[in-house]
Amino acid sequence: MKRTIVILLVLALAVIAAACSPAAAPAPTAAPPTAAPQATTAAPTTAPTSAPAAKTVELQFWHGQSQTQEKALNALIAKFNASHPGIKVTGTFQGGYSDLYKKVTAAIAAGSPPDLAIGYQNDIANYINSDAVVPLDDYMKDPKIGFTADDLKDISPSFIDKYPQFGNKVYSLAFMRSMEVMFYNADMLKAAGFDKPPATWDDFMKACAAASKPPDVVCYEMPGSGAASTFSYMVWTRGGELMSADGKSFTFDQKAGLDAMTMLSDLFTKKYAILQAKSYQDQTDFSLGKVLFTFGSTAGLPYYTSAIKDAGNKVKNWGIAVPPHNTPNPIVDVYGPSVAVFKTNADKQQAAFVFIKWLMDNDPSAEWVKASAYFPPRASTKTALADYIKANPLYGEALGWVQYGRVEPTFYAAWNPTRNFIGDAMVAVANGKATPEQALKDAVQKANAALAGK
Amino acid sequence: MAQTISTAEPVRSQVTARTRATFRRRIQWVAYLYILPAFAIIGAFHILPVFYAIYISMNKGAINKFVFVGLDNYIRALSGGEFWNALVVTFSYALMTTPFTIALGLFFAYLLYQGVRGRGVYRVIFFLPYVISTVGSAIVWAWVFDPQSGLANFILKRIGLEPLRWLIEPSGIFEVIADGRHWTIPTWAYGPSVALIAVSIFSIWQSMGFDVIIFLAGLTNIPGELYEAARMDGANPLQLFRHVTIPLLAPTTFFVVVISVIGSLQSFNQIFTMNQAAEQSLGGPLGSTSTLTVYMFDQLYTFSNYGYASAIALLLSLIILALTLFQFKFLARRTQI
Repeated sequence: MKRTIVILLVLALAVIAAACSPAAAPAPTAAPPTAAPQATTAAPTTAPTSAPAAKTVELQFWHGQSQTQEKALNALIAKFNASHPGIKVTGTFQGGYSDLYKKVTAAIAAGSPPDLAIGYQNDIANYINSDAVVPLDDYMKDPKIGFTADDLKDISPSFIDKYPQFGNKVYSLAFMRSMEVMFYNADMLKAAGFDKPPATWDDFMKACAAASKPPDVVCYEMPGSGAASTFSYMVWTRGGELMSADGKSFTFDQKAGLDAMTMLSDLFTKKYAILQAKSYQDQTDFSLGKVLFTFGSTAGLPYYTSAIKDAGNKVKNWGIAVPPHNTPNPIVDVYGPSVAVFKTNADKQQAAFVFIKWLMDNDPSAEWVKASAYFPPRASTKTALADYIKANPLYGEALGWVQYGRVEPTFYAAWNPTRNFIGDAMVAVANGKATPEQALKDAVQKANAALAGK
Repeated sequence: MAQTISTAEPVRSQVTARTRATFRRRIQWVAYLYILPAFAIIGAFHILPVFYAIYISMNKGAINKFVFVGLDNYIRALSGGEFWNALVVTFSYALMTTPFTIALGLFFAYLLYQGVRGRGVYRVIFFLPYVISTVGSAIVWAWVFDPQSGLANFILKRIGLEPLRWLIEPSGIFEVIADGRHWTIPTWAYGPSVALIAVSIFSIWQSMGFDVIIFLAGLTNIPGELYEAARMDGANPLQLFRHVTIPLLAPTTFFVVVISVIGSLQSFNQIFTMNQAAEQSLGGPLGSTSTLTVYMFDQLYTFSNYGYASAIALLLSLIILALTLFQFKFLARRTQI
């Protein structure tokens, strides 16, 4: 009797376990496009499909775009669906990028990932580690649906993600990028005796010394969790590197990194800088004329504009500039999420590539820029943005700096934790809890351990 | 004939016994069928994940590409400083929240029990923080603890104290006090970080309502005659509380203590949301609010160390189990449970 009951309960559990286990996945394949693509785009414009497909390929597209951006993205998706009868994309907002990553990871574990998803490159590196995404090189080269030589000349390389740890293959493509720039209060700068934003880090310190009146007015506000991107170009613009050329170790504790961290230490010791205690506090304080410089994404331009307006236009003259640099040319940190295609089946993978490629085309890109203030992948999109640039001259100015763009070592899965280590080092220095040498040594040691998969 | 009669009786009793056994078995079957859905749900969502977590904790690598490493993850946790730091933070947090939550919960429940007019309204007011979204509350509390314009520093200044940096201050509270007076104290005496104290205040505010409700339910179960008898014997209100309320409320107090200790050791939402609201890294500043749950989450999602994170989760479960057993062994007897 007891045995029967035990058997019954075990069977019940087995049924549930089976129900919870991943569904039989379609044979995953990273095969190149098949002979007859179901939907193609003939040109880099919004061309309709070449022939109606026999069966509609349905794609689940997970993204992290909310509010106005979600609306704009949904409008683009609707346009794509209308012009590509063989493909139906459904976009789903899955929270911010970190929530999106968690959901995708859980979906991979459950064996039911989306067909394509937006994510940062270090997150996509984790998907590659899990063998969950497909390389896009073959699709890109395909004569029917791939990029032409002209396309590749037109598209900035920072929108095509090659992963050095995975044979330098392209696992993701981007339809948006932004860059980190320096926001400055021109009136405060002028009052301190400067008629233009500082060109070098020495000038930056001089401006800070002249303009800071702590605790009411400071020169710089650092995010409470540190600012790894800011630190990255503080190193680059001193001629340093974050990583060794072979990508086997981190090098941001060397002279350039040390100089950057020492400058940061000086800023806090001399009370020219404070730590933020709330999200976007730098934006708020900038709009109130309490801070001379902030460093942030160009995607924040509309938010700065509205924050200044909301604060009653206390800040009359302000602008953006490339960060100070000791190098001959400026260097800006270009960043942003990309889109990866998950292993499903040949039709879906191909359709997913067609969709991403379409998003990178001129017309969709121009629409997306207008909704998001991001930069488009193609240089040629600038023509379609003439009116937008006229109405938003700061955006137009920043667009001209894309040529100075550099990318963080974001194609390594270890970069995400490394950003935290750098942030912690900055916070430790800002709080006087460690010397610049100690903080950097500790951060590099941890980063190298993460890089080695420990 | 007589033989026939004498054999028929045992046969009948045997048949009756068999029928009874069959009936009992049928009832058992029905009982098991009744519990089957609950068992299946608990099995699928509680028991199986535990075994899966044990499996993952003995592996390393990316999702879907695990490599068996035996007890390596446990050894790494127990031999690394970060785990022990997180354990110290966890216990500091539990010690700063649980006693205050319980004491304040009992205090306010006792006040409400004294027949205050509008008791129902107060009950709702005390319970509200418990049901309000943690994210929303965290944003409000981040404003309260804002170093520049927050209410907390306004109060400190009004009573003649130095303002604090609250959620962004990684230094220990005694270290901050000693620094302000130019004293030198040893590292071990620094105490919990100011940031952890700020999170604890938020947590006490949020959890206290639950304790108030439970204590209030416990208080209403104490027979009124006992208070009357004690009053006739000349007991003053303090004596009533000490000699009637406290002993008779002991089972409720025991329940609240066990639940609160488990809750504080598992606490995650309050810390996570306060970190986010104050623009801190997870467990920041500088790991000073990194409890075991936060450390585990960070290992899982920032580092993608699924095996190691599972090992931490299981170690935390063992710690909670040991503490709960300890409480049952040494406290339950005193509360006559």
